[in-house]
Amino acid sequence: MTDSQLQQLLEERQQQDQDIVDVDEPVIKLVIFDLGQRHFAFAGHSVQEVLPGSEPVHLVPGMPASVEGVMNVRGDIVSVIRLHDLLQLSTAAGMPDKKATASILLGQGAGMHSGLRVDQLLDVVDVPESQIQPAPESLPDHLRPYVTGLLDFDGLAVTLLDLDAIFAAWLRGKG
Amino acid sequence: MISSLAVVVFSHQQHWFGLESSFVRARGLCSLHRRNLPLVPFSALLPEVESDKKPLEPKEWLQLSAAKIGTGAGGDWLLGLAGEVDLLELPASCISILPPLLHERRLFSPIQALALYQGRLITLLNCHELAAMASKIDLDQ
Repeated sequence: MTDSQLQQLLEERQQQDQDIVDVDEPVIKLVIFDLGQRHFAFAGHSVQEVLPGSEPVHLVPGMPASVEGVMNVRGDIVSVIRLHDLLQLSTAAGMPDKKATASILLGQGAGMHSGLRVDQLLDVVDVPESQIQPAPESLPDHLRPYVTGLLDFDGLAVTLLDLDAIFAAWLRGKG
Repeated sequence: MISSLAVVVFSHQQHWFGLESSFVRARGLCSLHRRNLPLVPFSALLPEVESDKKPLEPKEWLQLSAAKIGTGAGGDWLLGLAGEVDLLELPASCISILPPLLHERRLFSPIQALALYQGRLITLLNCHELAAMASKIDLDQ
């Protein structure tokens, strides 16, 4: 510590400079969201669009419970699914996925696309790839096929998901 | 280019379903006239839409033509319906293929396409698939 305010200011500035991301470092765009009281992210290229959760969704009879229905996106009928069962997440506490902050991510992967209901969109950010940690060995078995890494985002533990793997598993009847 | 499709629509437990009208040969009331054809209630074909609701007795029937049924005259059969029935001319622009994820996971194989018409969703059914299901139910009984 120094008693010179100028010195202190310069030290702070130096610290800030060290915190600045190296612009040459490769970055990845992430769409970060809450689902079932946990924090997840998809790679930005997997998400075409984010729609308000209040958009009308029409129930389709004769579908599994994880299908919420279909919605009209500028004339196209798009499916809307929930990932709670696949990821073994809680839907308790009064259907949190229906709360006002909910969003629908239009995701694409495994050669197809669908809406994905999430509880809340947190942010869309560019993150240096170096900040993404590999998935730990301790990851639960049911998440292992879909997790590509972990990230600390503003103090939140965010799990990165592979949408291709999720759609492929969902097509095989999981979730 | 097809600009519209004539569809016989019917309601079932707050949902709307549709059949291409060219497969529907006749329509009648169960109470007045029942042709000598196998009648299968729609509620017996569709997986439980809302399990807390009791299946309603059919009030009307549609005589459907399908080669696969294998029972009754000329492969025709009667689909029993408990809700409203109507004939619509659906603009082709309202009709969409079933999204691939739903096509793969559907629990009710006759679901073929979807139509959003005047704010309501109409689930369009394949008459051949429906007949195949009906024939199994008829044989099981």
